[in-house]
Amino acid sequence: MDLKKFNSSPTLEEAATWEGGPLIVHQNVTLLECASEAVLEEALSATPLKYAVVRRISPTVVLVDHGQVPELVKTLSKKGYEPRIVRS
Amino acid sequence: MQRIFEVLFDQLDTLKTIDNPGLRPASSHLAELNKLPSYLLRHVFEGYSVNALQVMAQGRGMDPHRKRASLEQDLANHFYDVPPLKQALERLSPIAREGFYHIKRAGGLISLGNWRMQIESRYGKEDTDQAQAELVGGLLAFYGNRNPYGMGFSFQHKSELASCGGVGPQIYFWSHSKVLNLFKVSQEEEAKYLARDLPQTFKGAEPVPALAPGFDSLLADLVSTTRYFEQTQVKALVSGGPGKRDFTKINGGLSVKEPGDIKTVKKIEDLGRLYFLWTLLKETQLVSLKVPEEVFQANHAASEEFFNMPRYRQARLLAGAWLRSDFNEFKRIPSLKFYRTSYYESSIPDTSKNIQARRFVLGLLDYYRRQGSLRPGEWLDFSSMVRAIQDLDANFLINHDFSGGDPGTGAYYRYDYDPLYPIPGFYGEDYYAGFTSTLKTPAPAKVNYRLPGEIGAPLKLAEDFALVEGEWLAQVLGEPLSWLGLVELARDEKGRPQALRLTDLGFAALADQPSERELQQAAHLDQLAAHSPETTRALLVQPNFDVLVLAPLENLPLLRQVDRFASQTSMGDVALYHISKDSVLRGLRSGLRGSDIVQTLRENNRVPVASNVVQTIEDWSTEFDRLILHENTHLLETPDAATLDRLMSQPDVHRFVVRRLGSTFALVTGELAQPAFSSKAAKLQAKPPARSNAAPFPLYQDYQALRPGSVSLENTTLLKVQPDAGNPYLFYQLGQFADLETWDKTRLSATFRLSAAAGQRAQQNGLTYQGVAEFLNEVLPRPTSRNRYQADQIPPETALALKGWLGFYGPVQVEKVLAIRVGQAGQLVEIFGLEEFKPALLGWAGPNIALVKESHFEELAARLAELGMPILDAASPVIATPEIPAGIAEKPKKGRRTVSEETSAERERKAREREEAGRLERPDLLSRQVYPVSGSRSLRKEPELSAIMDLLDLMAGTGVEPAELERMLDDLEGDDGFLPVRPRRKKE
Repeated sequence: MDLKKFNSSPTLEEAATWEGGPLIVHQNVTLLECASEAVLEEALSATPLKYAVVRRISPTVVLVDHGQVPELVKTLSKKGYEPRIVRS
Repeated sequence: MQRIFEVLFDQLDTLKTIDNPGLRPASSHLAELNKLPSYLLRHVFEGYSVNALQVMAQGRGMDPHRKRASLEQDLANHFYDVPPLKQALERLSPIAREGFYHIKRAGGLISLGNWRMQIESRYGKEDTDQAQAELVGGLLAFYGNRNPYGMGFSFQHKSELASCGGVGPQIYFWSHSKVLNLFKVSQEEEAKYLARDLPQTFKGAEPVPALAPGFDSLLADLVSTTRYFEQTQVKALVSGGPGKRDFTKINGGLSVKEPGDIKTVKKIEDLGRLYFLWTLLKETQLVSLKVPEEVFQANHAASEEFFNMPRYRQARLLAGAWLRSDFNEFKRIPSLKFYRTSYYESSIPDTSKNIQARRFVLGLLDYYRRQGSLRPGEWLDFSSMVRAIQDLDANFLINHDFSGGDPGTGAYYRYDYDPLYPIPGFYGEDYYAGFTSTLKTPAPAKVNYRLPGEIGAPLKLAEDFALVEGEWLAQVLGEPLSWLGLVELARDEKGRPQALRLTDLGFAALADQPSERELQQAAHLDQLAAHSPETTRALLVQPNFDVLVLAPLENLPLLRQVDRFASQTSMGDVALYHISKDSVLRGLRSGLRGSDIVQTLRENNRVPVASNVVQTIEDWSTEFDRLILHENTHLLETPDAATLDRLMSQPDVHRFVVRRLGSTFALVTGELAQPAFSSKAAKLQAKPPARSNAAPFPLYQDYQALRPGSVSLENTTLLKVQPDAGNPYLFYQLGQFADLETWDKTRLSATFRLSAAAGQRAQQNGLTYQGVAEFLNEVLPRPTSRNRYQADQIPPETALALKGWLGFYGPVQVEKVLAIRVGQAGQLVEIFGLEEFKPALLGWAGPNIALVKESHFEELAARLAELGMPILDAASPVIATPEIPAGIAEKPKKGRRTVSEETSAERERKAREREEAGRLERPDLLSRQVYPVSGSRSLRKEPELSAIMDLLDLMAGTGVEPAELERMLDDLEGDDGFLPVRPRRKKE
């Protein structure tokens, strides 16, 4: 799914650093990990998850907006994608 | 160990230090009695007879045959002398010594009635009189009475050595510190005195313990109640307890339910065992209140720790919780009838007195256990136990005297008992206040007044200890201590308490070591495990997903584990559970993994678990694990895969990296996410390094910290992320409602343009203007100190554009209107007050200008012309035609018309307006004549309406809006004689 349709962030699907650039530690992020690429694509197309994606970091992992987590979990569960929640 | 558990265990640990139950600290009154001045001491001696004074003087080695005044003076002067005190103490008889020991044990001040009761019960009246005379004659103890200001020494009559000159419960026997310190008793002597207070073994036939739910039921109910709080969101009432709906449901899951219809109970405090359970959960903090949400939450860690403890430790912990709880056993005594009295007048013990009494009783039981008076399996006589408590500390629950209290307590609020107008619950200061007992038959009164039998009789402080404190003791032994499994109470055929004994668990809990039975069971289980380990396993998992937990109360930790992923269907010697998808999902949500569930079943099942059960649980778990949401975690991003490869090959990488997520991303621990270097280094790395030289430290970007000033507004619609201030979360937030224009990766800087298309996209995303404005106010620069009270940093143009694009404002509707203007506001009010003109009115542009719909204008103009109010075009004084809009478009003619062009009506109107304008400069509305001057009072009924209208016109000229005029008229109508009621207009 082309997430650019929903957000114009320059780092949505690109790296935040560059070749020879610094290491970056992204603190306090909320990360959604899917069992497969197909599950992620399915969830993106079937639920409002696409609006909450902050970054896509691999075919199966996205960073999501931490401010929307309660609503997102509720919506995903309603659509049959109840996530396991792991709190660090 | 949980902190609260340590506190609760301490409650029981401190009981071990009690070697002398009922020993009280020195009375607070000793401070004043230790240094009485000579004139006060003379006053003390004035209260004694000459005979008594002569004996005192003889004891001190003085000449007794002198005048009374001399005796008083000499005795007062040598009152605190040590040698004669020592001699007096040495001369005391054994009974008097024991009597003085009890005075010292009571803190130096004891109610004379209590003291005599103690000694008389052992030695009889004569010996008690003799002991009393020895103590008074030797100047070792004295009579006193209490008043609101402290101790007093005045009585109605002169006191003798063996009798006080006053009467009543407020007579005390007191001593002072000097003599108390001089008095020493050996350990043998003390043990002999206290041995008299030991309870007797029960002599009758073997008693049968009363049926009461014990510790097993309590544990089972704690499991089910804790489960309820874990699985249900229970809201707290203002009183701090769960509501009726919740306690009714909890009661449904208990092994022993509340007697009677629980639906008639209004609050949990009115319940018995369920309320006791609730107080235990509260005190042990297995369930606690989550403050902002006002809901109860189960404490998993505390529950796990508690249910993994050995039974004797569990019982000990719960006993500690009971000691501190606000459960009120006194109010549950069935033989007492309670009355509503004030706190100060009532003898009903409050929470602090209840706690004190519980500590005393449990401490006494522990003391008897350590003394060897209580032996396993041996029954003690209940009545002797009550007598022992009365001897040791009659004030342990209710104050029989105020020797330990503050000066004045209880004295201010006492009043005389009036038999003709009795106050329910109060019968005089010799009686317990606030309740009567049905166990006592009321005596006939002198005035032929008798209390009805069902109310019972008032109880005397000096006589009815067994009916009050004794009943309280029976209640404590029969309910809380039996429920905790520490004590058994036997009752006779009439239901009266007969005997008591400590259970095995009671001995183990008080001794804080496992009982013999527990040790034997453990040894037996070890033997079984060595021979055939499968027989010690407690689970039977059946292919139909039913799970049986054998001996559940001996396998509480396992029961709690099964509880997490299966639903209980019954509980008894065997607990039956059923595994369903819902129950497994509940377990997975709480953090369990499918493999954990299968492992629990496999390790504890007596036979191999059926493959269909394992497969189904794994399927449900796999389905649940399709999406995993990691909250508040940290991520490392490297410029290229090779860098991450190098990092992953470091020897101590597992200390920092949890796992790799992609070619350039890895999940890292909090240790790496916290900068460990100095703040100076942190400042250095805050700026990203130039492309040429790589950073020695990583760049930290916190997604939950939005910094003010990280974004600036370059013009009305251009937002700029400041160099080095950007992070992906900030870009994401901006990208939701603005379009990216420029992007400088090396400086982490970008510009975003606000636009209609971006606004539409934001609306689709569910964003609102409020949300966007809140975010912008957080990231835009803070206002300067001069404008620090400015709430909004968004300029008005940007705010308006955002409101439009984000759908805050709807589209603007265009409508053609004509404005009509009049000199007097009242004219328009009257016109548009009529129903026929209302449809033509679109709105008001001021009190004198109305906006009329173009479509209705022609009709309005014609009708107004009929009514003598032709509409004049501003350009030409002719009746407006339907083509008025074209005429309005013309520029109005400037300058005044000549007088000849004006009509006479117009001239009159203008004159009136000028006159009114003159009045407006100094409006005097109050003196305005509304009624004819010459009219009689009856004329008030007929006010001059024209005058009122003039008044209203005048007010209209000041700019009063029609709605305001309406309100003022309504006010005038309030006065019946002032204005007749007007026909009301419909509110628009």
